[in-house]
Order: sequence, then C-alpha cells, then structure tokens
Amino acid sequence: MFKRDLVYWRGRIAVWLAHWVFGSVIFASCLAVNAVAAPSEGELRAAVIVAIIRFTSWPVMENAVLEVCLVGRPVSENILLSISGKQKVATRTLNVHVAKRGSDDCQVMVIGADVGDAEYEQLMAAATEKAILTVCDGCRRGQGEEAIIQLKLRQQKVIFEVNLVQARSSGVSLDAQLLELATVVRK
Amino acid sequence: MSPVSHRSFRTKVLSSILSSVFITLGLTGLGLIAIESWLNDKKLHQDMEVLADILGNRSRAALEFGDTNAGQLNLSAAKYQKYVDTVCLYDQSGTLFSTYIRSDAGYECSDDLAGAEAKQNRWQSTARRDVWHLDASLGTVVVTANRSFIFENLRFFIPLLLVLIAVVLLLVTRMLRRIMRSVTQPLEELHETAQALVENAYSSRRATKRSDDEIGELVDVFNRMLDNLASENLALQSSENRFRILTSNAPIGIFQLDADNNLVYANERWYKITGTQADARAWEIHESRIIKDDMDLYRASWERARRKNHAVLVEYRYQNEQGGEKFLMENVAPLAASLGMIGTLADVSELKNAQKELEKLAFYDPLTGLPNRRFFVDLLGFGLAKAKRGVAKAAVLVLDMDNFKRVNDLLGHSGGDQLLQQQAQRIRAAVREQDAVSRMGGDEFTIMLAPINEISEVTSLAKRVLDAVNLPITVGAHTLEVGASIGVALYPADGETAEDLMRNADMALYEAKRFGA
Repeated sequence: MFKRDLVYWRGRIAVWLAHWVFGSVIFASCLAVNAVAAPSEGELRAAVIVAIIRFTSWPVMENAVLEVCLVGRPVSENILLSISGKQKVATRTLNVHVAKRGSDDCQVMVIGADVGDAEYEQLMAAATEKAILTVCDGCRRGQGEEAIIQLKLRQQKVIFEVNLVQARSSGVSLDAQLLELATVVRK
Repeated sequence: MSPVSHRSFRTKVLSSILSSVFITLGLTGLGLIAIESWLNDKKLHQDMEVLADILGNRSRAALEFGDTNAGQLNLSAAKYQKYVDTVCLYDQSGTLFSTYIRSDAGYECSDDLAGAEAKQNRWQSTARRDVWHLDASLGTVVVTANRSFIFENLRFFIPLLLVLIAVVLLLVTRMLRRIMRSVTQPLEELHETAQALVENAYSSRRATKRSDDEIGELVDVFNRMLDNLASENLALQSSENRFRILTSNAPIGIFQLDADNNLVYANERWYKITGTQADARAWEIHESRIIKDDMDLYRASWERARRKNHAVLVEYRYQNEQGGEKFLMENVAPLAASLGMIGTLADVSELKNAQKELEKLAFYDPLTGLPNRRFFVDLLGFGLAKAKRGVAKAAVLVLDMDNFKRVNDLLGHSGGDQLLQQQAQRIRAAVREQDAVSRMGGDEFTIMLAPINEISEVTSLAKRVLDAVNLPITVGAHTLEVGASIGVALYPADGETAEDLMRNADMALYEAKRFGA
C-alpha cells in the first residue's frame, strides 16, 4: 500500500516538474525572442543543413561547386537560395537551386513537404544510386526516415536524425562528430 | 703550539669519503630533481597541447552546430587529467562557448579570449589551440593546468632518492670500513710494535706481515729497521760500556755539563782531583776552589771555547783540601747544538814542579842559586838595552876568588862548595836589588851593575863586594880569609855589547890578578 502510494506520488511530482520546466523554457524562450531578434526557423534549418554538409564527404569531391537541389519546397528553401554562390564549404561553393524532378546534378538534395509518396520513393532510390546526401526538411508525415538526414524542430531547436544505413548505401560518409550530435542514428 | 685534536686516521678518511659521497649524491639528487621537474614541465605542456588538440578536434561539430551542451560534454573528458584546472572553448568571435572547470580548481574561464590570456599566472600552464574545420577557424580551446602537478611526482621521487642515498651511504660505509680495516690494522700493529720499542728499546717484538702488498713491504722495511736499530743499540751499549770502563779508569778526570752548567757526569778521577763529592754542589765547590787570580783566565777560556766552538786548553792553580796549591790542566770543548760542555781535567802539579826545576837547572847555578852564565848574558842584554834607553851607564864586574884551589885542597870539594855558597850570598847582598849576580863556573862570579849614573857608584859597589868577600868565612870548623880580585868594564866606554863588556872585564881581572900577585 505504502509502496504503491510512493510510486504514485513520484509520478505526480515528475509530471509536475516536467510541466514546470517546460513552462519555464517556453517563458525564457519568449523572453529571448523579445530581447534579441531570434533567427527564423528557416534560417536555423539552413544553418544546420550547411553545418551537416561541412561534416559530410562524397566519393568524388573534385568539383569546385557543390550542387544543392531543393525539392518540394523545404522550410529552408528561401534562405538556402539566398546563400547560393556565396557560401563555401571548404573550397567548394554551394550552388543551390530548385531542382527539376529527378535531377542528376545534385550532391545534396533537400526535400520539403510538397513531395508525394511515390515521388519521394523515386527520389530516395535515385539518391541511393548516385551518392546524394538526402536531407528531409519539413517532409510530410510518414516521410523522412528513408532520408539520410531528417531535420526536426523540437522546443525551438532544430535537431536531426541520421539514417546511417541509407548513408552507407548511397556512399555518403558522415563525420563521427555529426553522429554524436544526432538525436537518433538508425543503423 | 696549537692544540691538535685527536681523530683516528680511519675516522678522518671515512668522514672525508662519506662527506664527498654524500655531497656528490646530494648534488646528483638535486640535479635529478631539477631534470625531473623540467621533464615534468615539458611533459605537462606537451600533454596539454595534445589534450587541447583532441578537445578542439572533438569540439568541431559542437562549434559548428552551436551546441554548447555537446561542447560541454566534450570538454568534460578533461576530468580524467588531474592536472587540468579548466578547459575553455571560445567560438569564432572569441566569446566563451563552453567550459570544463575542475571542482577544486579555484579558477574560472574568462568571458572572452583576450581575458583568458591576461588571466595566466606562474602557477598555471596554458595551452591554446585554434579549432579548425575544413578551411575555417571555428574557435579556440584554452587548456589551463596547475603546475603543482610538476611536483606531484617529486613527492615520490624525493623520498625514493633519500632512501637511495641512505642505502648507498650505508653500503659505502660498510665497504669503506672493511677496506680501512684492512689498511689500518697493519698500521695499528706497527704502532703497537713501535710503542713496545719505545717502552723497551731492547724488545724483540716485531710486526706481523699479513699481506704481500705495499703495507706488507712497509712491515718488512719496518722490521728490518727495528733489526738494524737493535744491532745499533747493542753496538751502542757495548760502546757505552767501553766508554764507561775507560772513563771510570781513566787517569784524568772527565766531566760533562749541560746547557745550564749543571754537572751531569764526572768520573771518579775528576772527583778525586777536585776533592769533591758526587753531589749537586760538586761543580760549584770545584769552581770556588780555583785560585782567584786565575779565575779570569779560566772564565775567558770557557767563553772562548763556547764562542769559537772548539776545544780550549786552560791551566790554572787550584786550592786543594789541605789549603795548598796545585796546578790543574783542563781541556774543555762545547757539545754540539748548545748541549753543554765536555772536558778533561788533569792534575799537573808534579809536571809543573818538574818544569820549574828544569827551568831552574837551565838558568841558575844549582850550587849557589845564582843565574848561570847563559841567563846572565840574557840579563846583561836586557840591562844594557834599558841603560841605552835611559841614556845611563852600566858596568860588568868579573870576580874571581884568590887561592880558591887551596881551599879546595884544605876543606875538600864539599867545603869549597860551602864557601862558594856563602860568598855568593855575600856578593848578592852587597849589590843593589836591580843588579844581577851570576856564577860563571868554578870560583868566578859576574856582576852586572845597571843602571849606573856615576862612575863612583861602580867603585863604591865594587868596594862593597870586595869588602864582603874579604871578610873571614867559617866553613865547618875552619875560619878562612879568602880574598878576591875584580875586573871592571864600563858601558859604553869599554864596550857596547855584552860580549865586549865581559871580555874587557875578564881582561881587567887578568890585569888585576897580575898586579895583585
């Protein structure tokens, strides 16, 4: 009896603390947003995508330009397009463009929500064959896990999950440190 | 003489060598500590640089993604390095990104990179590494370590070193003791043997040779030296015995004085000559018996012997126990190095008397006691020289008894001799003190009158002599009247030399005899 009450109250306290912490974080975030001009979600996602690219290597890296294809209107589309030709990763300049369906020139493919399931599967299959880093940026529900990188927004933070099986299949190498930062690594 | 502290040779050598070993080990230990500290410092710095490299490299993703939690997690790996106080990770703009601070460090990371550099002190060692990814600098990692870690290892090293020094000293001491014992034991035996010989110069004890090395050779030489010394002692003893027998039975006195003029040795003969007893006052009594007139000569002779460092012969008169005088002859010489004086003493009274007797025989007529012809010639020479210096006159008278042969015939030679003795006394009494009377032989006498101021003095003195001689004389039962004749020669009128004067006086006597007869 006493043991059951102890477990019960422990659970209650934990829930109460979780609510309190969550509320505090939200409150603090609101304050922070009000105090400094916080980056937009698109900016955050774009920054994370660029950072991920910096920890990624391809079988062939001689080109001076790194082609970044945007498919299905990803959340970071505008930001990425804005840095096209300006941002460099090592010696390679990022060339960001909205891709036609099934473009052959991509080393990075950022996929948005505006992609149907069939097309999504086609893109994944093509990416696997051509060593393309697939990044799911705001994919539809049910999509994303097949992509090498899946971005998510959690508590005002952009986090990412890694599909290491897909990365190995496509021939794209990810830095171990990147894997350490990933919230989920699928092997 | 300054006091000398007694420390055994073994102790001196042991303490010297142990001090040297201790100093050497101490200096070596200090050197090792310095080297160890330097190496620890160098190793610490290298470790920190490696750590900064590792942490910086591992923080690339955290910096790239701005994930401070990941950065914090990476930096916390430094907790396994005890010497690390803080690890501060700064981003590209130099702003503090994440930190690791050891709980007891007492330091904190500065908010910016410039502040981190200013915060360093001598007890901290800092390694700084830029974090690069691809071709871009992502930030800077600064590792700060506490340099006390350098001395952490010394906490074990120093006691170990001290124990090592103690063990080495112990081993060296034991080893040295054994070596020193093997060296000093024979020396101690030599010393004991020498000591035994000091106590008894005739001891037959000899040192034992225990090894065939330098010390063994020393023992051999020492024993040979003792053998030589023993044989020399024996020879010396024999010589001393001979000397003692010789001195004891010597016909002369032998004595030795020390540097303070104390009599240290005298043989029996010396005591017999000086009439003293063998006691402490013997020498004092001996000196007191030297006739006062000869004391100066005696002292001067001793002084000369000491000053010139050679033997001196001195003859002096000595008062014997009965109050009479005797003549002593002393030969004294200084001993080397101011050790005193040594000398011989002989009673030369008999010799001296014999010498006097001989002198008397050589210069005097044994019958009358008057100077003989030879002595008279010398006296005459002196008298003439004196007269010459004084611009005075002198006279030589030759007197001869008349009919002396008949006296001899009447009274015999003994009676004649008695007559001559009485006449000699009369002649001597008739002339002045400064005049000389001699018997030339037989019944002939020669008289020197000098100095003479007036001729009348010669006449007067000659008359007095003749008057004295002409007086009746009693020899035995007979009373005789014996006349005499005189020949006179005047200086310088009749001659200037003794020979001339005596010859002219003889001629005058001859003339007188001829006219008188």
